[in-house]
Amino acid sequence: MSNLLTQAGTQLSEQVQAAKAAGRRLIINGSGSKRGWLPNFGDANGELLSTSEVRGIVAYEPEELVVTALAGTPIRELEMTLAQQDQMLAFEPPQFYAQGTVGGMISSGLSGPSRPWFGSVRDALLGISLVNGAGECLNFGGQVMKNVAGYDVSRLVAGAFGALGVVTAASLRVQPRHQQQQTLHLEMNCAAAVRFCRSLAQQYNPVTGTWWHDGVLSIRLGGSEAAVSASVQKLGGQAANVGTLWQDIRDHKHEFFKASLQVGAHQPSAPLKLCRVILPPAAPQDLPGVEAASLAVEWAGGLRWLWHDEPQQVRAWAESVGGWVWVLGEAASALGNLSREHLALMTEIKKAFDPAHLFVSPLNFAVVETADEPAHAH
Amino acid sequence: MRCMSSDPHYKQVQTLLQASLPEGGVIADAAGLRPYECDGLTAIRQQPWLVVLPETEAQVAAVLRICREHDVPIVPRGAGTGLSGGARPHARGVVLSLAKMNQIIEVDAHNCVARVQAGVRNLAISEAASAHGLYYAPDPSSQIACSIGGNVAENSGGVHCLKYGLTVHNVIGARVLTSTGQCLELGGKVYDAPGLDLLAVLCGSEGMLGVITEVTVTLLPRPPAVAVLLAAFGDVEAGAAAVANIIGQGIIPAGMEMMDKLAVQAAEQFAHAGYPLDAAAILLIELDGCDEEIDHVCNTVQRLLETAGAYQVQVARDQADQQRLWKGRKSAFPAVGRLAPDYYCMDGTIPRRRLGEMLRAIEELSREYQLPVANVFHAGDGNLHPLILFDANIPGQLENTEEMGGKILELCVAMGGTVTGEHGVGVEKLDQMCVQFSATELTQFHGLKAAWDPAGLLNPDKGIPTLTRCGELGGMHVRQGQLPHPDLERF
Repeated sequence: MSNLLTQAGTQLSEQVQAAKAAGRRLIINGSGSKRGWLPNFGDANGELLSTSEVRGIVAYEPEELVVTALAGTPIRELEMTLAQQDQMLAFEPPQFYAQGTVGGMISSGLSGPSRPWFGSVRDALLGISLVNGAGECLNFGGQVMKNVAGYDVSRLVAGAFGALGVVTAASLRVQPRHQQQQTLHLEMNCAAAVRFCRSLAQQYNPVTGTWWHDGVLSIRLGGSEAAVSASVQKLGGQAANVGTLWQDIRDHKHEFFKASLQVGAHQPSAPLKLCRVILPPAAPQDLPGVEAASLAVEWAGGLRWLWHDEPQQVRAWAESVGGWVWVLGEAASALGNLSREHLALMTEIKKAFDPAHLFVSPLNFAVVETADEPAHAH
Repeated sequence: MRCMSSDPHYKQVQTLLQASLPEGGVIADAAGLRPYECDGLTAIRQQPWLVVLPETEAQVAAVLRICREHDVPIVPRGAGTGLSGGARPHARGVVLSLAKMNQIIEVDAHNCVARVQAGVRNLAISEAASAHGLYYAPDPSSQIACSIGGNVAENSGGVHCLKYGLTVHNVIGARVLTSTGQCLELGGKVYDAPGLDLLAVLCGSEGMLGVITEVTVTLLPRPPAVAVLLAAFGDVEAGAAAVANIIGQGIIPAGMEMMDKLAVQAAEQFAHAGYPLDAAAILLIELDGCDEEIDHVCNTVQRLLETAGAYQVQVARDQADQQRLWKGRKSAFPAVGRLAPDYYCMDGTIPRRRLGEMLRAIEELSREYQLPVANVFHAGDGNLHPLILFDANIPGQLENTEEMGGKILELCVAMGGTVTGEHGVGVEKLDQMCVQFSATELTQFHGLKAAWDPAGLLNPDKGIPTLTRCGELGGMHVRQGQLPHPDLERF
């Protein structure tokens, strides 16, 4: 079993070393499903380093709640394996265009609707195998839940968009699937929905997801039969058969995420941009001039999606209440409101893992010193 | 220390520190320094040159700048309850105590977070949040005394982390000062932060990357219903099988603790918790949830325990009974401490399925070294605390104990686990780190450290061993139960 792991490491390490020797830069690519989020690959010089052939589940111990999979393993394949044992990835990784690999899932750090209740990718991550910019195969963390030996490099790599190296494999904590799941619909406006979600968050209940859009708050409950039905009674509202609602939200297949529908509803002064607004969850939705149809709220208030023609306005508002904005398609915005000091430290960390700047990441911390790109950059 | 107090360089630094701190903020006399000689790992002691007690973040920054300018090592310290010597002083260095930064800045119930200074005690956070029906989940056994800054530095666990996670899962923001005295705000009251996840790597970094001055923790609503079950087993492996069956049924208990015979007997004598003295092992299981579900879950778990071979199951539904059952477990360490003049606490983690194998190996080592061992085990997550009993006054016993402990940790690595689950590496487990990590991995760790602290002044010689140290040990690298590679790096 660990042969698979060794082979995968060797294979990717050889590719990295070859590129290093030839002075070529590398763009790490799983299935390419998240490219629309950070599209500045197009103007970068480098060749694709594909992880898609390094795939397979290396180890799975349902009773230990741990699975280890190679980077190129499709998320869907991993989830199917877990489902056979009534288990799941609790952080609900998005699968845009029905695609996505384990490596991409970790590198992007994106989590689905359950994020506030079950944590993010990095929370579930127990260990990784990584090939750094020197082409060295390194292992950090492991397959056990409690492990404080050495710095937690695994979690640092989650969400790093390949800046620190190429993930070969990852071990993840899995969770039992909920015995029962039910969605309630409650009609209310956005302000009321945020307040309602915050009052829910302060009480013990089996909420596993919330979604407000266009005057309706959907609340997903998950857990034991007794807990879910008690909660349905308590919250009232209308129990609904929602089909694939939560997967559609997770994977951006929901109508809200279709730009064409948005454009039809407004006369924007500029093309509408989809803004991923991360806020303190109780922050009021008080950005003026936003129509209900252009707004959706997830994570019990902690994530707001906004179609807007002036992302700068959204950014100023979000930062004024302690949040930040990622404008989809604008790579620089993925660094939010980080200061020069943050970026300088991140640049030093990048250098520690990839001194020759071999890996082209769409997260470019070195914005302050782009002038001195490495000589062999092309 | 006499030579340092007369050295003009040190004298100058001391004057600068005194000028930057309030009256009494610098301790330099031998009697005042004594309490700082060690942390919870009392076997390893060192008198620091100075102890400083800043009261504000600006004062912490001033201390860092002065030390950086004059090349003085800094050892950050929380409440000093750590168990791996992470706060052991440096002979020529300053111990930077955060104890006076103990203000709860804000309990923000709407966002379910609390913003607190680094020196705030773990339990004080839950106490402050209780008015809102909220609490801070991670509960290391030292929670009455240990500080949140120390918890972040060690990524502390506790008995409830199987369900509610470690410190890293329950902290969403921090203010940290780098070794240059620069302040970085990480995260906030938000679920995801942009860029590299610096907060994640700060958790468990043992004071080697930065000095934490403020922490934002997430608060959870208290579960309305709790039940505690105690199950007695005639053999340890039946207990381990019960744990696997419960998790296999999709039940994640809030806590799941196992104790072996010697630990049970010691705890019972000490706490009179009503533990069965004839049991080879007991399991203590805490279940929580809503009122409507607790009976059902409780019955299911009871049935699973009996099927696995439990010959006695007690169910505690009222708080007094629950506290009685927990009291035994919570006093296990001091109770075992009464069995011998000294004990040595290990902290390895193994995949749970290898528990039986591990306990047999420990038994063998115990015979070989003629040192009794009591085992206390966070059964849900595989974190094992063997307590080796010894007498430090008998020449050679401490060395034997350390050697035996080292072997136990190396076995943990060989079984696919780790040398430390929650206590940290500190100075205690540096040698075992050479077993768990390769030279390239250790070099990568040092690179990461240098990115944060290029001068290497923050908590030097802790956490990550130098390659020279590993080379001198001739340590072999055993991973995932495989035999050591013949082509391994040796120094």
